[in-house]
Amino acid sequence: MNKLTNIAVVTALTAFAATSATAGPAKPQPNADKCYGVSLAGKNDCAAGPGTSCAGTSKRNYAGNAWKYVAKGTCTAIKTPKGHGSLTPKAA
Amino acid sequence: MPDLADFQANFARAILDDDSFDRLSGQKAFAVYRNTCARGAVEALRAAYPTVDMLVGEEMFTQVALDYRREHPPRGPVLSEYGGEFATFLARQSWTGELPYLADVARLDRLWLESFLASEPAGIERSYSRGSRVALHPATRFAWLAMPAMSIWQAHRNPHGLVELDPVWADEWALFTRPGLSVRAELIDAPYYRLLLACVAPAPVAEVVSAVAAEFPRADVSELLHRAVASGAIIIQ
Repeated sequence: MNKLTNIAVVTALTAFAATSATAGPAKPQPNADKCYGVSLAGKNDCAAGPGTSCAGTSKRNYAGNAWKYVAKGTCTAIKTPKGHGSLTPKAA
Repeated sequence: MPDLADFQANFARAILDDDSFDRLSGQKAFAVYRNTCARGAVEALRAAYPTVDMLVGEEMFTQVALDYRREHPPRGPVLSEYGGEFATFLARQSWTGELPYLADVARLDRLWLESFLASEPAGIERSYSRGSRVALHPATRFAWLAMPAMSIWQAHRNPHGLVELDPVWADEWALFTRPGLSVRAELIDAPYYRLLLACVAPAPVAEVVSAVAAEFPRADVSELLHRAVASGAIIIQ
């Protein structure tokens, strides 16, 4: 390690020791329940919302088919070196 | 009459195989299970990757999610753990050539979720003493991206008026921390990234500082350390 680096280390440590006593991450708020993953993404039951029912008559058929990808989202708003995101159909 | 284990294995196989048609899966009511399971996997993936969903649109995401499910069916009951390989899956798809940032954006969605779900550390020291060691907070996630994926990701977290985004096409460094109970995302620079990397294995502060200073002699390492501790990215042990 060179001299300059040594000085940088000492300076940094001194400054760190002076400030870190008061620094620290924010304390978790008491009584605030965290939403765990299962409920975050918990959409696998038969009462999953509009379009599904316990009779299993989903309006949407999730079976795979010979579909071509067509991006219709915000990718068209993003400029890349090759131009904007494509809207052209692509073979899966 | 097959025994229960056989029945369950057949059932699971037929759930994933849309084309199977036998005594079990040929029954009309079987489609209920098949469709519900597919929907669960698609919507769990969508919930975990909201930015990817916005980028390609709902319809396309559904189809990509179905293709992903064929390759990576759920392995456990915890839906938030489903989809861990989505970013690498996307990077492998030929069509992502036109959306080169998509896989990295997926990675960022995943890091956000991991940060959100990480457990709290057992105990955090508030003061520094000689010989203190620093380590990453369990909820800290960071990444080096070869794309401006973080700028794109952040623009989608506040999408109002997202008409056109023209990011600087260069590397970016991203950091997720969780002060309190919500995840904070920030764009960081290379020296800060180097500092976090030096803390992946708990290390003495002096070691961390010299590692950063050796590589970035002009960086204000004490300021970086202070920021990292203040934001909760690293903790003192």
